[in-house]
Formats: sequence, structure tokens, C-alpha cells
Amino acid sequence: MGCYVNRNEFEYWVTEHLRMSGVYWAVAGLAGLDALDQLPSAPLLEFVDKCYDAQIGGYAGNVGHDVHLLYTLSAVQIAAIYDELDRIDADAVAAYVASLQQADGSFVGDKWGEVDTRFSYCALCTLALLGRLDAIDVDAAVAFVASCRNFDGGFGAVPGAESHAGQVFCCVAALAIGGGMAHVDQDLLGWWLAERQVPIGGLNGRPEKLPDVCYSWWILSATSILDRTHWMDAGKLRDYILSCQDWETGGIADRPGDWVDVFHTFFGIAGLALLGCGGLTLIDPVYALPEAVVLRLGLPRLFSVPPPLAINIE
Amino acid sequence: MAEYTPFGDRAEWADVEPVLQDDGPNPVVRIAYTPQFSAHSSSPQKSSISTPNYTCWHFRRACIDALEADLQAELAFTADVARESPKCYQVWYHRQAIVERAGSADAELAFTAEILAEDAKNYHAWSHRQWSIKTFDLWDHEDEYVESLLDLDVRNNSAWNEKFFVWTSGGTAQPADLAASLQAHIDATIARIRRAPNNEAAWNFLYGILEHAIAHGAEGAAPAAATTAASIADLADSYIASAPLRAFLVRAYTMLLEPDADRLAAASQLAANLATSLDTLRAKYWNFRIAQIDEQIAALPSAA
Repeated sequence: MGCYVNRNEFEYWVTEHLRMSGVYWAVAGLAGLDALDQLPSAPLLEFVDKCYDAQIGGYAGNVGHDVHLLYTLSAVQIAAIYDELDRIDADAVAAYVASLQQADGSFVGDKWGEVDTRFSYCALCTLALLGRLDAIDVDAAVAFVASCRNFDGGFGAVPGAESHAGQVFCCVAALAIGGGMAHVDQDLLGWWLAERQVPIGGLNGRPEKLPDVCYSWWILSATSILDRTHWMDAGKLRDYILSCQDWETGGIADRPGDWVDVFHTFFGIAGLALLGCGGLTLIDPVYALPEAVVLRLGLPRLFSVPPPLAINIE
Repeated sequence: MAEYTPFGDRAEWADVEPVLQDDGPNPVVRIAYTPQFSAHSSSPQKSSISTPNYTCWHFRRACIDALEADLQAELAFTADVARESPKCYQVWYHRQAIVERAGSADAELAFTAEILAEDAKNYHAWSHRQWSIKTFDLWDHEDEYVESLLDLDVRNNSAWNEKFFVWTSGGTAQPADLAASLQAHIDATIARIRRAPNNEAAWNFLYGILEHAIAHGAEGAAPAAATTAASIADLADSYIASAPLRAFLVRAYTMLLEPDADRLAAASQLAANLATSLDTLRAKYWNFRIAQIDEQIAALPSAA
């Protein structure tokens, strides 16, 4: 949470526009460590409230900014973690999300913005958490995501765009929420995702690219939904994630020796839990929320994790 | 920001009559204006500290529309920002919006090529390029461009994806066109594979075009796939350490071609080789495939 409180640091200002997501990553990361009590919830929830635009029905990345679907999902997730969904005007948010759906089923991220399967996921996840999937044309949303499937089994941001593991997470989770898993070739995609593991154990996001801890979350989420995590070498991946932890600050970086941030720290923690490392709270890979939160909301469990690894994370 | 001078106090702005902001009683986009955040030309200043800020890009477009600003100048500005922050989503979307307004993508192929020369896998540049090609029908020379990128880096998965995009979505994507160009694509891909036999991207492309041609009823595609698999099998002894070569054959023998006893037996052996020696990281996947192949063998009419 250093980036949230230290206003003298450069990082505070360059991440100003996505503060809401920063709060989500930090809170979800703490939930993954079963340490939510490390942060006072009241100021965070107050911050979420201040980012709400009642005229539009969405949340901004920071106070005074314009609303966006990305931050609307983060706001709803934060409220869900704290069991404070009552703070959200579900009708207004559902109407806002529905207003972003295009004729082809895709979603734009805000009133003016671009189309991207990231936003399909944000829309479906936000509405599922609010119990308001009926606000949109789910079949059309599923059809658009399916149209972004590529010859290698992966998914891109728009039809024809290269398969990318981050987009694969968004698309697979969106299809899981929308009941469209029939559009996924689970064996082919599971293999493509397993192919992302490089000899040192980490995962890359596209063929012939460098590994990065963030893909531990994107890829393990997708393989958990596909029930194909066991096709990777879990022990090697766990060791890679642990090698990216900085022993002084405790945070996790994208690669060994790089500087740590809250983003990679959350993805590292959540990834370790999905690998079956003990001592961590499982983050549901569909809704990107602690398992207990998803259970409390009465949402279905749409994934599976492999049996626990022999070595626990202390 | 400590030395910030408001535009109204700058000498070069002395002859500009300020227009006060009036969003009306029900503004579509409510903006919390700071003293600095008050005119079109201040938005690039803000952009320079926070290019991914959606708000300031919206504001900029609203100003451009209201002022009927010079779109070519805006494209030049956008190019500068993209050069500085090539991975920023918003600048690329902004550029797309400006190209739409200008009604021409004449500069887009050269501009994206410039960005891709720095980072050949920039996802936004590729998306923008594909959008430009699709929207303005600029398919003609794209395959040549992709080939030039593959000459530089045969492992560039983005370029292979673009090659597939052009072949399957461009002006020559009808079944007859696919049939006419399939063999040339196969030969060119195998030539590139021989130079880098562990290049996953090229193998995925090769399998992808065969599968696509068969699925779309391109004449001669199935025999071409069988011939291709046979010539790949001939290469196996020359490339004894190539895991993707063997993975390709496993897929071809079990899913692309008519499965028969010989092909399935060969597939099983190849998968075993991958599981135990060439691709042990994914041993569990290959063991799964071996079990699947066993089921396929058991289901063969002759096995009954």
C-alpha cells in the first residue's frame, strides 16, 4: 500500500488514474494472505464511494476522474471483499454496464472508449457479482468473446488479434460466467497455456517472450477454469514465483531482481494459491475474489485446483 | 510541476481570447477542472505526466471536435506520444478515433511499422494496424511486410499471427484462393522452420493454415496436409531435439489426418518421447495425450 499513502513518490502520481485498481490489488492480496485486518477498511471504502458518479452509475479510477468499466469492477470487487455490496447502487451500475454493450455483443470500456475483450470480462464479472446479468445480452457477449478465438486456441483483444495470456484469462473467465465454455477447445487451449511455461519455470504471455509473474495469475486462472493446471510443472513455477520475491520488502516483482509492486505481489500470491501451495487463501480465478467471498455471494464455483503441493508457503 | 505557468500568463498565449468552460446543466462528462486543466493545449502537458489517463484523452477529443482542430497535426502529436509511451492503451485508441475522423489511414501502415521496428511485438501497434487494414482495405502489401519482419526475427509470434490474419481475412480468403496459395505457404513455412526447428510460432502457423484450409473446404487441402505431415516426419531424424516438430506430428496424426493404426501408433511413440525426454516440463500433458491415443486405437474398426 506504499503507493496509496506516499504522495511524495513518483509512482503515486503516475498511477493516479488507476488508484482504484491499486486498492483492489492490495486488498485482494491481503485477503490471499488472510491478513485483511492489516489495513483499515473505512478509508478505503470511503475512497470507493468518492469515486462513484451517481449520474452515470460507474466508478472512476480516482476521485474526480471519469468513470470506467475497469474501475467499476474494481470498486465492486473491493465492496464484495468487505461484504459491503450494499454501498453499491446495483440498478444504476447495471444500467451503466448495459449501456456499454455494442450491437455485436462487445463492450467498450467507457462512453467513448475502445472495444476489448478485457471489457467483456469486466462487464460480465461486475454484473455477476451484483446478481444482475439479466441487464445485458449475455448470449451476444459470449458470441463476441468466442469470435476472438484464434487458430492456436487462444484469444485476443478483438477478432484477429494475437493470442495473449492476459486476454485468455479475460475471455475464459467471461465465457465461464456467461455459460459459454462450449466455445473453448479446452485441450487445445490448455496445451497452449501449458506451453507458456519456459525452462526456468516461469510463464510468458505469448510464444517466444520472457516470463513474468503476472502470468502466474492470468494463466493459472485460465487453467484452473479449464481444469488443466496439472499439465504444467507446478513445483518449478512455484519456485520461479518465490525467486521473484524481494526479501527486504516482502513484495513480488515481475522477474527475479526487479523492483516489486502491488500488482505483481497480488498476482504472485494468487498464483501460488492456485498452484496448491498451502497457507494461502484461494482467490477464485473467475471472479478474482477470495473463495469465501464468492461462496457468500452464492455464486457457483467454476474452477478446480490441483491437489496441494508437498511444500507449503510459510 | 513546481514551475508551472498558467497558459493565460504565457507570452505566446497573450493573443488568445480564453473561452470559459460551459458544460451545460447536465454535462455528459463531468470534469473536475484544476487551474492547469483548462484548455485543449494543456492536455498534452497533462498527458506527459499521465498518458494512460482516460479522462484527459476524452477531454482532448471533445476539444478537437468542438474546435474542428487540424487532424493531421493531431496525428503528428499522437505519433509523438505513442513513440514515447508505445504501450499506453489510450493513445492508440485516441489515434484510431482521429484516423476515423480524418477518413484516411494513409499514414497508419508506415507509422505502426515505425513503432514495430522498435518493439516488433507491441500489441497495441498490431491491433491498430489490423484495424486500419480491415477498415480501409489495405491488404495488398501486408504479407510482404510480414515476410520482412520474419526475415529479421523468425520467432516473432505477432508476425505469424498477422500472416494468418492476412491469409484468412484478406481479399484472397475465399476457398479457391486458399487452395491456390496453400502449398506456397506450406513450403515457405517449412523453409523457415528448417532454420529454427524449435520455433513454436511457425509450427502453430503451419498447423493453423492446414486446419483452416480443410475446415473451409479448400480443394486439395486434405492431401496437402498428408503430404506435409509425411515430409515433416522425414525431417524428424534431422531434428532430433525438436519438441514442436513431434508435437505437430502428434496433432496431425490424431486430429488433422484420417487416423489409422500406423499413424496412431507413431503418434503414441512421439508423445512418449516428448513426455520422457524432449518436453518433460509438460510430461503430464503428453501422458494425457497417450491415454487419448490409446482410446483412439481401441476405437478403430479393425481393433474390434
